[in-house]
Parts: sequence; C-alpha cells; structure tokens
Amino acid sequence: MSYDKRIALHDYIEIDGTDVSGSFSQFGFTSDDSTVDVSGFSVSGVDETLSGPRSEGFSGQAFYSEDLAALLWPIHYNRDIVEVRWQPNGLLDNTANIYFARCQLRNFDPSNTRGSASTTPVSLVVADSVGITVIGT
Amino acid sequence: MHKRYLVTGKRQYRWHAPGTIFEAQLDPLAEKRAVDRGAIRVLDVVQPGLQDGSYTIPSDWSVRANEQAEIGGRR
Repeated sequence: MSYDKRIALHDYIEIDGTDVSGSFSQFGFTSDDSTVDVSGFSVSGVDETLSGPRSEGFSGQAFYSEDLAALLWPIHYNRDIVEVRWQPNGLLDNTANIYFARCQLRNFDPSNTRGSASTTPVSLVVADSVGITVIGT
Repeated sequence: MHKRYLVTGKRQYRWHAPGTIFEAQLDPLAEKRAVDRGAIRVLDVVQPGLQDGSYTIPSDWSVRANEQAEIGGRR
C-alpha cells in the first residue's frame, strides 16, 4: 500500500480571519492528554493510568513584520478569543481538511538576532471546551 | 446583520483578496478588530427587500384581480 507523501510548502494559515500563510515558516498543533496515575498495589508493580485533562493549541514560527504585529499584539494585549484555521496544502487544495479552534494568544515574544531574519514564535492556546475540530470540506 | 465590506489590508481576509468587496455577517468583536487594524472597511448594511424597479406587475393585473374577486364572490 502506498501513501501520498508531500513536501510542506502550501499550507493555509488564518488567524482572526486574516491570511497569514506567507508569514509562517512552520505551523502545527498539539493535543495532549495528561496521564493520571490510578495505580494500586499489584503483583507486577506496573502503573495503572487513565487519561486526564486534554490541552490543545497551535504553534508555529513566523517572520516578524509590522502588519503581523498589528494583528497579533491586540489579540494578545486584550486577551481576545479568535478563530484559528490551519489547512495543510490548503493554498493549492481548498478541499483539504481544516483544523479549526478558538484560541487565545497567551505569549507574544518577538526578538531579533543581528544579521538574521526577524522572527517570532506564535503559540495559540485553545480557549473553549470544543477544542480543535476537523472540518472536512 | 449582513454588511458589505471592502478588504483594505494587504492580506486576504476570510479568503477575500485585498481590494475586493464581500457580504457577510461577522461576529461584532471580530469585525471591530478587523476594522481597527485596517483589514476591512464597512461599506454599508445590507437591508433585505425589493429595490425600486427590481420587480414589475403584470400589465393586466387589475383585470385579473377583478375576475378573481367575482369568482370568489359567486362561491
């Protein structure tokens, strides 16, 4: 069985309605369940665990620019909850799955290194109980 | 409330290219943020309804209306 493999070049990224695809060089999301230990005494001594709370969010690396800052800084400063969409290969295939969530920008940490491109990490934490949903078009 | 918007920023807004006009019903807070940062501009509010000249009444409408009234009266 073969699978389609692809070089990531054409992802569509949208924050608060604005297309920021060209500003990002890396983007993705995490969805992590915490592990809750519910072990009792046993012969084997192996841990017994359950899945605890789930934390989700998008993160990526963006090139800093004034218009990107004009988008991100007010969202961070006002603690707004905004819509985020990530559509891998979406710039070429608008039927590709979209990962969508309502998020807050809890950190805004741009920095410069002399002689290097201005960049900023972007980390968007899911803010409601719906979490990240997949929209199949 | 539906409104017409002009994309005034340098980036696409909800898949609408800069310089284009679109109609949408946006979340008020999202609209305010987008307007404040210069991404879009509100052109006008879309009021549903018939526009002047967008409809015509059949030329024999008064004759037919009277006929229908007579039929209804005989029943």
